[in-house]
Amino acid sequence: MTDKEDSKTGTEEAVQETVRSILRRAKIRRAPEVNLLPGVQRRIRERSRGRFYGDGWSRRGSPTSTYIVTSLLMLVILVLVYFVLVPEFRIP
Amino acid sequence: MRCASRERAVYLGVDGRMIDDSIEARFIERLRARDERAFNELVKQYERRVFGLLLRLIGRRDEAEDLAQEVFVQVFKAIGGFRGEAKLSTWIFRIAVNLSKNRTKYLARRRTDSQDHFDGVGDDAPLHGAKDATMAVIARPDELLSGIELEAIVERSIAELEPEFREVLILRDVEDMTYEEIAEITGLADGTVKSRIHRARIQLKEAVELAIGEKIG
Repeated sequence: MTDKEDSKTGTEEAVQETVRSILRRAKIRRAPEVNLLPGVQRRIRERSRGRFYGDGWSRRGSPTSTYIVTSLLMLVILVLVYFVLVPEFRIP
Repeated sequence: MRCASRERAVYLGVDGRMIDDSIEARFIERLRARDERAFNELVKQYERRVFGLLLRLIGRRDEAEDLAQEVFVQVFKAIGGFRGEAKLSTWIFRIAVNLSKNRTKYLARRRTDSQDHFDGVGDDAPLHGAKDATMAVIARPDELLSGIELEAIVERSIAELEPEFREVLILRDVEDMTYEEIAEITGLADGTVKSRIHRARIQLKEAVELAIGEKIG
């Protein structure tokens, strides 16, 4: 990029260096924190009449935890059914 | 920023991450297919830079946040028409700059004071160091002013630049964009971009010097 582009004349170079120094010292490059995603998703959902971001899943993070909970629940049910139906495990 | 030493074109993306051409192409395909997760990634990747740019162009946090959200809505709507002639980031910044121009005009019509964000900041900042300065020329302004005081002065000085100068100065010296990218974003000729940047720098330097009462450089 560009230092070459900026160094046309000595004066221009000096001004460029001064301004960049000022901006650097004033920490102007620091980008502020912001969270735009919920607002963007809401606008798109409203304007698309629910076609996008309408199901709820896409607005959250990965639903991995839901899959894990569902899997564990099914496993527990299967084990219970097994103990109830298999004769050796029935309580006399 | 291209990295010429590699066989495939590679760019430095936001946060300094390396973005391969083919990776960006695949990402754009997902965006075109209206993949919501891909779009979430896009927003998270660019939100800070887009918001920062708009905040400096407009000068008001509430307006900048509202407009930044609108930028991403427009990106979502228009991504199908993105042909990849420019980098994705350049295209997003072009939308942001165009929307900011419209919003600035709208705010001016409403007679809204677009400098609210800067009001009360820096006005009464005690310039203790500047008072004691005996030099005619200040080599390092930060030696005389605290970072916060200098930040307020510079922010105010940027806000007071004429919009067409403020725009190119921020894109070049804050966002570190190339002249070609700035020309693409603003629709200006390369020569106009260069001359505006130089004039903007002179205006900013003079405004800061006026604020601290000393020459810099």
